[in-house]
Amino acid sequence: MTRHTQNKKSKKFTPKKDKLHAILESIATLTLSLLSIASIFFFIIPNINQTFELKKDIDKLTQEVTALNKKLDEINSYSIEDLNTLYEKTLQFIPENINVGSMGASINQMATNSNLEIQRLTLKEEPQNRNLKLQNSIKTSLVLPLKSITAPFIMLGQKQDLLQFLDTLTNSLEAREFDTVQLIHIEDKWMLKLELTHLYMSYIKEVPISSTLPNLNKSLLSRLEEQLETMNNQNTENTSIKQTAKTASNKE
Amino acid sequence: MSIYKGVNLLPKVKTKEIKKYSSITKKMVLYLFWLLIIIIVNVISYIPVSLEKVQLLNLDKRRKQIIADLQQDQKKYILYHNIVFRLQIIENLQKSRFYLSKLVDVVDNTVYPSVAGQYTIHKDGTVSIGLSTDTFTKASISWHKLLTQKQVFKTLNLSSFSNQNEKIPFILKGQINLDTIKQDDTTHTK
Repeated sequence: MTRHTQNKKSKKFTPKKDKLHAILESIATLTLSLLSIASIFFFIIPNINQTFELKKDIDKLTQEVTALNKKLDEINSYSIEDLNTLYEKTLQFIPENINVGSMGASINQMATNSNLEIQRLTLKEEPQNRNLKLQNSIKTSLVLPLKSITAPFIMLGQKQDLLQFLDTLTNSLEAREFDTVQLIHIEDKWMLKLELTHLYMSYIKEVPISSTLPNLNKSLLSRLEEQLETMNNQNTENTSIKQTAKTASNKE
Repeated sequence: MSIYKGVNLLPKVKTKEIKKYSSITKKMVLYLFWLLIIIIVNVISYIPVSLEKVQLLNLDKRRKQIIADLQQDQKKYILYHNIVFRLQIIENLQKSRFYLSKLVDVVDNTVYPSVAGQYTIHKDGTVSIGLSTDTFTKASISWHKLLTQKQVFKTLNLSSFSNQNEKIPFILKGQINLDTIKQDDTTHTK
């Protein structure tokens, strides 16, 4: 009797239990599926993306640190006295300021050295601002306070002398530039028309610490030193020639 | 009949039911395993992120340290860059310079039977050459000869010509390839 009733009961409840199990199974499967999908979209994929982005940042930062380290080593390799000497040398090519009078005298000297005669020389005393923007990859830009004075002039002389004078100007590392050059034959002479622009820049007091700022161009620096030596030798020769001439005239 | 032998009052478990319960257990284990895999995969996917973050932090620390070192000797740093900037300006100027003598050489060696009496050159490469000769034929020969110098002259057009006292002055205007008359590595020692 008891067994019969129990059998009846179990038979009675089995379909309901099965249904409940099925529902629970579906819920569990659905939950786990959703959890899997959600973890892929909200966790795994963002993590992979973040890893790639972090890798990029690391590469960039590694480059920056390497460059900064190199710069630190390079700056440390110079003493303050060495840097002062180098700066003095660069000043011979780009001065901090230009004295218009001395510039006129220098052009006149150059012309005399090349057997040329200055017909007209105008010096515009008003300096032009030619701020030079240095852009670097760290989105900082540095404006160099570059200024210029223009000196249009006309020279007369022989063709070869004028061309030699122009070549000297082009070879010189001094901060000069010219836009238009005109060489005209007039009777037995040649005339050179040139608008020479002299650049100068004051001392920069603030420089952002950034690895992407350019490094010191050593090959150019050695060319600069070479040219400065030649200029000094020429000056010494000129002075000694002048002194010899002076002594000779005194003796006379 | 022995007194130790009891009577089984529990209903007999059917093989079907045993199978059903064992299948439920299997499924439970499977679900737990699934959940475990989700957790493990998520943890594993986070490991590289945390490692990269640590590396980034270390690098940033190193960067700040170098910057602090540079700032410590700021006077030297600024002086160094004042030299660098000046050298950069000189370098830029050098790149834009050209030799008129090179152009004059090319023209003088090419224009026979004409004679060049005027050369004008602009830093953008615009050029104007004034020549003179005694016949139109000779003028056109000179123009043609200059046009054969393709590495120097990109374009060269006859701008004007006239007939003055048995002389034919004419002007050629065009564009030259500035690189051919710019400073190269050997010329700076000139």
